[in-house]
Amino acid sequence: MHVDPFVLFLAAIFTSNILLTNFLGMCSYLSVSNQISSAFGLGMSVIFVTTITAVICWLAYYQILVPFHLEYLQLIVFIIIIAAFVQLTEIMLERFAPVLYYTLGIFLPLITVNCAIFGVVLFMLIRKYSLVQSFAFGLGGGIGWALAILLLAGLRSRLKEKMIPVGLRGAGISLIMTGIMALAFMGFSGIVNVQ
Amino acid sequence: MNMSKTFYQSAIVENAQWKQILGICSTLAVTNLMLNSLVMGLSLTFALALSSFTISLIRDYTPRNVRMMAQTLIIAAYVIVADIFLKEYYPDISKSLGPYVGLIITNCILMGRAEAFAAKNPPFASMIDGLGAGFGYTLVLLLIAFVRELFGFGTLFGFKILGDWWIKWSIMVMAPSAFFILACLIWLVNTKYYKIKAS
Amino acid sequence: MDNEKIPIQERKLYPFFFMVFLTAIFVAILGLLFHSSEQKIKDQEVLAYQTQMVNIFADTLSTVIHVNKEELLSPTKVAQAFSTYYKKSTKPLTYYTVEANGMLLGYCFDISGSGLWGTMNGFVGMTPDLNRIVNFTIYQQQETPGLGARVSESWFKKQFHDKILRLNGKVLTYSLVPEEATPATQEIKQITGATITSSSVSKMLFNEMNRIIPLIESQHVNAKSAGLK
Repeated sequence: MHVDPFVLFLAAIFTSNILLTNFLGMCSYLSVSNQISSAFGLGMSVIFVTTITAVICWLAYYQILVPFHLEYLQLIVFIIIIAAFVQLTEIMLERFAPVLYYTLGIFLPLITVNCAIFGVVLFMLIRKYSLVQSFAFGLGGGIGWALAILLLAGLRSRLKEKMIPVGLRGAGISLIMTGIMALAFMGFSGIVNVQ
Repeated sequence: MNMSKTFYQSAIVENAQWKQILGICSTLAVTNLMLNSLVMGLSLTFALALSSFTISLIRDYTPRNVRMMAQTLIIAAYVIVADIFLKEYYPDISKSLGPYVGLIITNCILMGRAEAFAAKNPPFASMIDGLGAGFGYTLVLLLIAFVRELFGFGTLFGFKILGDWWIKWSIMVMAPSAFFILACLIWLVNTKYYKIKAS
Repeated sequence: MDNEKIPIQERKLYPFFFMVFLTAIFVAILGLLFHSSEQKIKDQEVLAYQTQMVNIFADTLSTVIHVNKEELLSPTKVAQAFSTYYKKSTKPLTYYTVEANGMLLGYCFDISGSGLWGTMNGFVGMTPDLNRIVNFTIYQQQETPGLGARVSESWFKKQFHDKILRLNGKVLTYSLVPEEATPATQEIKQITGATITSSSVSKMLFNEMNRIIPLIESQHVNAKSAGLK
């Protein structure tokens, strides 16, 4: 299409942040943002998984599904690719970064159902990106998500919980903070001319 | 097993959005119009009820280490069925929902109910649990969409309610409003229904 | 043998066969479902495409052929209307000439441009002199629902009805005015909060029509000079 991959990369991080603009990847975002270290670890894992699966799914779709007229299987194929790749990531982390592996615990396999990754793949198909564009979009999307979760983790670590009404503690205040962040990120729109 | 109790439990007491904080992604994305919310809720309920039923049916034969993969596969299959149905009979709505119907596959609610209930309970009860969770989810969607569509467009389900004198609140159409409205809903429910008090 | 004491789930290859079997069943079901609905979905897309195109000239057509506009656009009649009144040409580009009862009503073009999030496709109907827009509609876009996606709303489309596109031989670039304002000849109303999408529409019209109109005109000049008209 017409959009420069680098522009897409920047857009995916700032002007169309996969979490703050498209609302994808909220579940693990809200749960893991209570500690900066685990937020960082999860963010890095998501960047890794998103970028590589974007490329693999692009290849699977255009090189296998389309030539054989199997497009209707795309959702199943993608989710299996993502699941398999997350499994691979899990094994690698267990071997090379065991502390992170144990901190993340259940949230590592839950990356499989992280809407952000699935969403990146679906958007890249709908907008008919090329392979390079998909790579840029996947990388940007992952970084955008990681950025958002780090921001929230940082904010939450400085929060004086006692000042917040009881009913709002935890999820409620996280949602409000995210909403304000989403408003702030809107200020980025226009700096990148996605034309 | 008391069916209505199961239904009430998963719909209200253990509501996905306000209690378990699951399924937030789609709640924020499709709630700018009530019609889209309704279609999304019904599609999710369909997929959830049937996948819970199926997962429960084969729960004694499912090996532990591929449990999540099998669940994902079954959920994906039913969501695709719903997607094909929408494309065939309601193509306009299918277009306006875009990729969000496909994203039901990664909606934490389905995996959550599968793990929490369907993996350990009989099929029919699992289906009721699924129906309940779906109902609760749709309810929250409609509540948020009610506020967003009314103040953002002046309409409800496309029917004009507020006249031309109403200045539309653009923020209601955009991303952040959904965050705030959901937060307020959670606050309200936590205070009035669960009666959480400072310890 | 030890094997008999181990329950079936724990045996080594069982998970693999289980997944293969499960996948096969569901893929088969989906395949059946898909193939049974495939044709219908394709037909619907064609029908939607044709309906949108006929819609562009529906008002003029209904006056010329004395058929009620609603009847013309009904699913049963629209395909026939399309094949009767819309003649496709492929040189120098793909476009449709709309003729009824011996009268040339105008031309219909399928144009595309970059939106904020992906390609936007639209139909623009032009008067025979290629100066005014008869009607304009975006039939495919991936813009933000509730914001950029509002390009498909009727108020946005209506402002292009009978709008001057070419003045003194030059295609206009429309500038944006707020949604509440009344646009002048060189202006179009934008969607509040969706400036980029709105200016993409303006750019698309300018770029495409600036490219297309000279091609059409040179073809007619060639046809005339070759004595075909």
